[in-house]
Amino acid sequence: MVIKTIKSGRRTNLILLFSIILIQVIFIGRFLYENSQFTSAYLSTAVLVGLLITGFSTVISRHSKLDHPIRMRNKDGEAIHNLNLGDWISLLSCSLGSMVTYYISIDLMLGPIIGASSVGLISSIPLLIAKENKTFKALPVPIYCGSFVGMSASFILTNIFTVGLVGFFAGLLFVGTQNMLIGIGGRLGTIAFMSVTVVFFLSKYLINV
Amino acid sequence: MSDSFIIILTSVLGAFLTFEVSNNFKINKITTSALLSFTVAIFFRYCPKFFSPDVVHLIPVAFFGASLIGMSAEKVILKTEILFSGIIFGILFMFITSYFKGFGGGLGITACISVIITLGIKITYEKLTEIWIKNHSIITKNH
Repeated sequence: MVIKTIKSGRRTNLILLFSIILIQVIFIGRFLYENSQFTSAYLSTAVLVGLLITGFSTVISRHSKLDHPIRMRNKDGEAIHNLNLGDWISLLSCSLGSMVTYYISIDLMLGPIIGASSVGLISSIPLLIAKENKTFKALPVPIYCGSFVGMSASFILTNIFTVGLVGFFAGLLFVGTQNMLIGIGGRLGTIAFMSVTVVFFLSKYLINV
Repeated sequence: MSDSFIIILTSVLGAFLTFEVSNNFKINKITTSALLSFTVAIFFRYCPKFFSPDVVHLIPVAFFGASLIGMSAEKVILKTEILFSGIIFGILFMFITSYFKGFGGGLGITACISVIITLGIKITYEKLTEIWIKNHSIITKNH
């Protein structure tokens, strides 16, 4: 049973990692194909994909705990499937972070950079009061992750409630991928980008149908 | 100074400053990134006269995106690699920005790509050097 859950967790982790690489490759590939000749685009995409895979394999082998399932294991090695209180706090703070950023950026018209950075600063204030508090220490990370979702333009996410929902989805991804790409800059942004694109294209497809 | 040079310089500065400030002063990485980006954004919002109008609104964006590179852990990436990632980010930022326009997290994914590509180049270089040294020693032995 334990081995089964660990195996399934590893599989889910690999699927998530594969989708991150795929999104990055599509991202770069689309640009290259539209802006250069076929052969050079083909070659440069191949080189970039090679570098991305080499980089990812290094990160995985050295720094990530890919052996861990998608959720943390308890002392007996069993996967924990239920969300605990800390996870719920992360989910809600991610959602809240995205909504506040969107409000500052779009409704107050201060722009996404001021929106996200001010939310990041506000999330760090509790740390000044209680430095050793574990919850306060962990809180800025999901809030900052949510703030990237809130940086979306109004033609992508049209209202603040949609932003909150996407923020919640990003929170789920954040909780699920806590052991992945540890220490790599842009991890939170990648989670936010994945959730925004997935929700945007799903909604677009559903509306079109 | 050309616009692209300013963008690359901003990216390198954003990544390097975040990394250095957070590691030297032992400040939380999120606080460092947010504080520096906020300062730069406020400065260019209210004092935009120093650079050309085309580049003024891009500087805070590039700085914010690059500061995400600086949030990388010290164990994962070295100072020189941060600088190199900043250059890659600047180049990617100039060409790919239009593709993620409006999508939240676009800067984050670009920062992630820059860091991963830097690590990929580093590993490839190390492997190639290893192979070259091996071959070179075989050749010198034969001679």
